[in-house]
Amino acid sequence: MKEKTKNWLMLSPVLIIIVGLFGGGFIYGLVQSLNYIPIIGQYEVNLDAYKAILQDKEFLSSLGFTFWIALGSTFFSIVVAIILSMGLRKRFKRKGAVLFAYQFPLPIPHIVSGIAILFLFGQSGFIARILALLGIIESSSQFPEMIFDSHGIGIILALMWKFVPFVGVALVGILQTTGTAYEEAAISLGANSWNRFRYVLLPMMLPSISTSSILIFAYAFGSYEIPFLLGSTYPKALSIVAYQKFTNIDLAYRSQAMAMSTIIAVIVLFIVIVYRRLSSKVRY
Amino acid sequence: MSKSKRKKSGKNGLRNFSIVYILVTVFIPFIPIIIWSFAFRWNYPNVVPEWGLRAWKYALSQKSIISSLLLSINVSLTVTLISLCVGMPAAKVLGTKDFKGKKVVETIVTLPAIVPVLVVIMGLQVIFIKINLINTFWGVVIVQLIPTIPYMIMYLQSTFEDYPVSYEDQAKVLGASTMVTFFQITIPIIYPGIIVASLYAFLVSWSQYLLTIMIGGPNVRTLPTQLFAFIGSGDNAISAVVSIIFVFPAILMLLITSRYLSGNGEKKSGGNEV
Repeated sequence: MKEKTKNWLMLSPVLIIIVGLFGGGFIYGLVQSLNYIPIIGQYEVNLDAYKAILQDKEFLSSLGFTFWIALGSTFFSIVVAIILSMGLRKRFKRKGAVLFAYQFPLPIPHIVSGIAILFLFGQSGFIARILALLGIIESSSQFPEMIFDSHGIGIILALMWKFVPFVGVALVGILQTTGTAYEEAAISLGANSWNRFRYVLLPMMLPSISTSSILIFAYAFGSYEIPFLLGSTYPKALSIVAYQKFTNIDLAYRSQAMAMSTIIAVIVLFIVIVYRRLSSKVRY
Repeated sequence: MSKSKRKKSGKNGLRNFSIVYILVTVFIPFIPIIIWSFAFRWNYPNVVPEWGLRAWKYALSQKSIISSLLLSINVSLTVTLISLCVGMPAAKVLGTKDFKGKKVVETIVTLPAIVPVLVVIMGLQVIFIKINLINTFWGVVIVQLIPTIPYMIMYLQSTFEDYPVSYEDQAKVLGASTMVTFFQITIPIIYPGIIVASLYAFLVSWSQYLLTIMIGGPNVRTLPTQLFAFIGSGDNAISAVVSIIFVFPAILMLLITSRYLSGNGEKKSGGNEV
């Protein structure tokens, strides 16, 4: 009994902070999304904000766009991370240095990766300048629109710059510690290289891939900095639309902003729950 | 013989591709930032700018940038220290004990690392206005605990999972007080974990933009909020200089952690900042 009390006592500061701030902020936002805003004299609870945004074309295109950048950046990051970890799994000279370079983007803030992509892929960016020097393009408008574009290519590239090592560094570690024994057994049983990848190496990587893909999807879905730096005016990422509505001088838009953030939360939580369910049932 | 030779070169091909891919994609994006920071003027379509130290001189003489840098250090150190103090006991319980409700606690603690802060910050802004924490240093510090504590706990918990609890019992049998046990047994054993966890927490706090701008407003101008302002004003050279100052702690951290993490080689997935 004493032990139990002590445990909870040691956990309580963290729980109070997280439940208080995270839970408090979420619930307050939820209440306001239901139009309960005493500050401007609204006391009755209704679903007007949700109705309004669900009929709003801008919101729906933002929702689709946000799904695209989140799914796109997650999918392409995983594919690239798998390819790289297959290439890096064995010992070789200077592997330590290569892995150091691989990890390099991890601690770099997203704002800086956004600025790097902006300077690199903008229509008057570094690559456009080099192509102009080589005579491949004549004016900057001939360079494909990758930044501020409606497909979110720049956003996806900037996210991938950090996501690939986030997924991949762990995969290299997994393949390295597993060693070659399973693979050799598969070879002796006559498995070709595709089958060795598909039935031996991929299953070992899958648990780590699914955990990290949930984390990066959730991050991309709610990220603000990179879409702010690299996004187009239409469609905008959901986070940008929500923030703009929230900071609108007309306080009436606040409930819509809160409704959007509640929808983002529900989508992310839904994905986390589905993932938890699947990962506890499916065996790889 | 020839078959095995072909296979070998095929595998090296993928390896060489991976190495080149990493070196190109990781380092080339920094080149324009570095060039911009030393550019006096850099008109399109020139690949090489007119060089000059204008941006560096401006940044290092501008009070607003220096004070932002100091404020960022101050905020992030305070946030790291608080999350270490509250995170350590919790991580110890989670790492060394098994109890009813542990899974729930772990879920609650990791939730802020998964769910975007955007979904709580609007509600929090309204609350912080009411309790007069808006536009204050402490308001920003408190709100930054949300993203930092989960990383602090994830890292410290994995450290405590290898922690020999029996050493504490032996110290107590020998008559050591709780304080002596903590400083002479616990800290010396887990300090590499403390360093790595603190560095990550510092960096998570260091990178926060949205939380800071929404709670700190115009009063608490940390480095990322300044950086956004410079990018918005279209001054690429100054933005590049501030970016370089801004990534400095990250690179420092990478050098330190690669020293502390080398040796055990394995990395816990999910412990990294996304």
